[in-house]
Amino acid sequence: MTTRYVNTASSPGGDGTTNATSGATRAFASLNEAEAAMPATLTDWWRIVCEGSAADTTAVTFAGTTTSAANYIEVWTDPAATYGRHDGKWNTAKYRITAGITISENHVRISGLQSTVSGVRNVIVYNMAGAGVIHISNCWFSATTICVDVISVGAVVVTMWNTICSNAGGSSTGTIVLNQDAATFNCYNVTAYNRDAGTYFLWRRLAGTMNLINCLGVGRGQAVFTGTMNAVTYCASDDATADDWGGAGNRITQTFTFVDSANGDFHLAATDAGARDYGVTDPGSGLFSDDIDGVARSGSWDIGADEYVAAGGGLSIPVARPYTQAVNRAAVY
Amino acid sequence: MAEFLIQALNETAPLRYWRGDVIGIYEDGVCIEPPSSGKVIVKVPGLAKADAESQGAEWWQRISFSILSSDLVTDSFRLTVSATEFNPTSGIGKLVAGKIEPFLENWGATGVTFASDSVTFDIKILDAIKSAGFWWGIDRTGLTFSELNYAQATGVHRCRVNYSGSGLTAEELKDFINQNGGTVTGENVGNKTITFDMVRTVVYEAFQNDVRQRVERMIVRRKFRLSEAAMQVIEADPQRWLTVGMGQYNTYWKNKLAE
Repeated sequence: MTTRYVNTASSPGGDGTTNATSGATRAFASLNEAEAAMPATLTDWWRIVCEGSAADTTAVTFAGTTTSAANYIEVWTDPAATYGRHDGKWNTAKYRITAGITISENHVRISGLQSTVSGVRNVIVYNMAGAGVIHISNCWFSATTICVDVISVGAVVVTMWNTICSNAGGSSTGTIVLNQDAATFNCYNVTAYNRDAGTYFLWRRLAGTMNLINCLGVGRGQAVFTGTMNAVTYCASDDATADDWGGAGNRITQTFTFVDSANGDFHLAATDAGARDYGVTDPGSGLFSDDIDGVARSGSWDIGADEYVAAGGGLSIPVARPYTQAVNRAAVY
Repeated sequence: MAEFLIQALNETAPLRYWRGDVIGIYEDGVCIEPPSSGKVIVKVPGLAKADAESQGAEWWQRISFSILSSDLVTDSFRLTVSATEFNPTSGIGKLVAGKIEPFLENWGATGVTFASDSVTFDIKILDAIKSAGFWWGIDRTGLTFSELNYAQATGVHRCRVNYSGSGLTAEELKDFINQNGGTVTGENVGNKTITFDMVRTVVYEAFQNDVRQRVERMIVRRKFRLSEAAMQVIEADPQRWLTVGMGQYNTYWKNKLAE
């Protein structure tokens, strides 16, 4: 594995081989700078470790590097780092990117990012030929348009898990969208939430194969699942769409209770009765066994990105506020 | 003052940063140390970062639509799609028939004729409403369409779709119509038909958006590069880090579309 570092406290021009913020080997100052320094062909797994309390404001496009199943790009935040991975909710003390990420490489993994954008996608998988494997995990996304979009690609399999997608302040045709015949989009334990009540479709399949397990959607007046899904199991929605395609364990017209949805905290509250323990165990067949902020899942898994753990069990749970309360659209994510 | 981080390696792989390409543009005082090998830094006093951003523009294959003629009686148009950013010498960025023709035909376009950097074709709104392009993502097998009425002034087509030979349900069809800008105005469960209104402008916009999304793509990472002469001046500095005046700065750039 080759490791390169991004630290928003660094200054541009380093070689990214250390996480230092000064000197010739200092970290890259942005993810874009790290991408620019990648070789034309990867010969091993290339991990980019991102850190820093200042926002990374530069858009990045992963393109022009030849990757493979073994030699892939991984953008990763360290849960143990002071300014590394978020804690399952929007956190301005941790690494975050406020510009779009375009993936035009066939083998890319993104793990533990938080991103909020306006007018662009958080992540668009776009413009590549051939087969590929894209992983998106443990991310927190917010957008005014689509959060994750897959279009104009070949036989790519995109798998997303333990991720939160929410949107507000704009309009779009969907929040998590697949629009490509040859592509497959698998979502496991993903939470999608309409902060502008009734504005956005959440999961939307226009073409391709979309498989959803343990996914939680709160459309607040707009359709959660639209466009003929291929397989939907153990999913839950606040509308009547979760069981529209058959499948086991789906729950419709549910009320979910989050810790503080108005401020981007979609951890399940102790009082939640819509998602807790209603999921299926191990939907990814060994792909993951924890939740968005690293809490081990156990028993019957919870639906959505979070696994509820009682206070004292390793996670501090503030007083719950149900999502049905007024949402502050002006909240800064 | 704007500050530029520039690629110095002689990289030539497609879609990578080539020698002279801008990697990043920053406000004054952000670049506080010399760059590592493979990069140079240029600082330009008097140049606002906002004014410098254009030097970091990506070069995408872009297209524009223009209407050559229209016939509102049949609600049909003769259109030209042109490449807007291409290099006439190298041909990079030009429209390639194989890239766009399938998408035009998907929307029912006819009379497709290619020129060196453009394509001209006819499209009829009713044909587009019935096309695979419009019904993207849904299996149209067994659907039959008929037009009940067309209001020339408003561009509203009232259509009926019969799904008796299709595997689709009425709910799936109604959802699709509503989600794609139409209005369901009636349903006959016994005959398995749904009546809906679709407006010309909605269909035309959907057509444009679909073709753009599938044709436009980045073809070179940056549209501009620092000239080789400028790169050598900067690299002659022991720290590969140079402050230059606006006069020098303005002579430094090469436009790849014109090379």
